[in-house]
Amino acid sequence: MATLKTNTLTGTSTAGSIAVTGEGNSTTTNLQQGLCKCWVNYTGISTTAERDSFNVSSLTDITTGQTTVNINNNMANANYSGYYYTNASTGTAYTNFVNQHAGGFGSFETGLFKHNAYNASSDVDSFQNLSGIFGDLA
Amino acid sequence: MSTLRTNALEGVDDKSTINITLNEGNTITENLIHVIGKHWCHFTGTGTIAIQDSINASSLTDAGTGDYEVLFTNNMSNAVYACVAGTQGDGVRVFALATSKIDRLIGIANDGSVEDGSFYTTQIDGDLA
Repeated sequence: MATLKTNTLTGTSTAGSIAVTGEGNSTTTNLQQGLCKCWVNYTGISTTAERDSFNVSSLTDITTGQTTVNINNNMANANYSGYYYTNASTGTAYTNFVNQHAGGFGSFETGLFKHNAYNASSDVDSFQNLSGIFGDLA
Repeated sequence: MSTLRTNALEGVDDKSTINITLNEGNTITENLIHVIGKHWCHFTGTGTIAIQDSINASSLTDAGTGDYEVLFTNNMSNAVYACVAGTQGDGVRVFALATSKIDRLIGIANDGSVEDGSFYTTQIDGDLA
């Protein structure tokens, strides 16, 4: 058992690249590429407002059921990966949801991504919106 | 302020065990490798499907309309890992998992039928083989 204390980790050859050994001790994966680069939990009903977030500068209420998540430190390109869940309902109870996939990404850009909450007939301002992004920071 | 510069990190007792303090209260540690995502991918779902960017994705298989396989470079240790997906299409389902690939990723239209969406995204958390 050894304890290393440091405030910052940086790659030697490439500052943004550190290999970490996988669980099976046979392969490595890149530390920086495996980290979530941005996440947000927000409400879209009444005034669109984040409950908590990481690397999000602001939210923009585009129109009913459509929101832009503005990224604080930009991504390197628009080919990143992400997930988005919404209950697609203004209801705040756990029973208020649309029983189908009810949200999608509008678009990816380096400095933002857009959400579209859909309840099978129209876009809807939604109580629960959860999203995260994986990819390369600029 | 201290900065550690290194190209690789390995645990001392076990190569894949490095505990890291995770919480702002400095009371919770977790194995670093367990909290690192093991795969992500962004690929186009129409026409000739293609990986746009990824980590630990080697190739795609077009298994039919709205039916995709995402193959890994380094396999997972089992087929019970966590997987989420996103799309610019109407909906997406992760239908089957395997150690070497996301076996069935299904694009869903608003009417419940299967469709090719413009792009799909995938992420995995779990144990590497």
